[in-house]
Amino acid sequence: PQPMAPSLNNHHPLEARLRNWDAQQEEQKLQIQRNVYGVGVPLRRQFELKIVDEMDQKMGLAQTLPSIHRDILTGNDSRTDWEDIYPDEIGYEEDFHTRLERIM
Amino acid sequence: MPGLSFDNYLRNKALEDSGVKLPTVTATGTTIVGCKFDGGVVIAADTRATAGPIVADKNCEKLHRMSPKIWCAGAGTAADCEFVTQLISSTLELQSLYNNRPPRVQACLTLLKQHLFKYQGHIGAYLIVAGVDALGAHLFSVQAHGSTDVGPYLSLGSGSLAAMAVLESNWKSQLTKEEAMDLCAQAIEAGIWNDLGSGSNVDMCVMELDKPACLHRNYRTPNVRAQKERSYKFPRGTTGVLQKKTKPVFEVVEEAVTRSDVMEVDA
Repeated sequence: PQPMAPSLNNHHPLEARLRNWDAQQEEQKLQIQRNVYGVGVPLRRQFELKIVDEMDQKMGLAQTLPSIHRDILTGNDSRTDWEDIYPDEIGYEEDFHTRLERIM
Repeated sequence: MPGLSFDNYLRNKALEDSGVKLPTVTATGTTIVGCKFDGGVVIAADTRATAGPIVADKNCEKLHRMSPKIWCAGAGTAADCEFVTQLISSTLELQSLYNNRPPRVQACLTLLKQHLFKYQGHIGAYLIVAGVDALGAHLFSVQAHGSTDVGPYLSLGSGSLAAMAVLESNWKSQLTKEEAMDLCAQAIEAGIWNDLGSGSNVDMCVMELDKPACLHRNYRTPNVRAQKERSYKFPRGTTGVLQKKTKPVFEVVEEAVTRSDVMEVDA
């Protein structure tokens, strides 16, 4: 039994799966860490990620660009994926207006 | 969005519905085999790439290098095999630099399996992965949906039935390197002759413990084109000359260089 959603909203069946993939994998990793090491370890990891994201934002780095600190914390510094080969074209921090224009 | 983009999905669907013929992907309707022997593993593949009913490449390379001692043979969509193997090969290299150890075949297999499962089989890469590492010689196969198999001999592709018939009849548990190479070549030839999607030559890669891997490109060439019976070259004078006109492209002027015209280099 195939799901009806792709035929109704004209999206490729993989789109929804891939959009949530990274977040789901992160969550799964944190859950495993919590089960094995206790609640302190994932909590600390999330604190560190928040600090790193704030630092990148202050430096003017857009969230979609690769950030070395974030990569080290999430374990992506020894991994390559399609995102590194076909990156997003925006290289600068875009303001609210261009972002809204793109969504509309 | 970064990564594999779905921007053109709607457009492609609309084109398909309005009757435009989709371009046929170059597939490697293939025969690939792998066989373990005492002290190593050997993989072999044919060399035909098809685009629908047409042979797109008569001598393509289906044996890809994941790491110096881990090689894999790819069946399915040619581009998918090529790019997935290159991506995972880069990841393996990064990881081996990170860990300061040569990569393991199981690591390669797990990376491939998780990647292909993520894309639910839409990346059509059917691979036989083989290699030697610190734990010995290994032979695995991966399907496009992410399932994997282990075995002492494996075959994949459209010619896998023909190849498996040969492997099942002639495989025995203690093979020498020469016997394994011969067996694999025989299995690929069975696919070349009996399967329409496979043809041309046999490529082979032998990975032995404690020795560098050896790629035998065109190990057997049973499909050399016969020489044409007559030469179709036109003899000189076939076309009559009506008019001849010469035009100088540049003028050659000879000038004697005297001592004072020589360039001063030591000034």
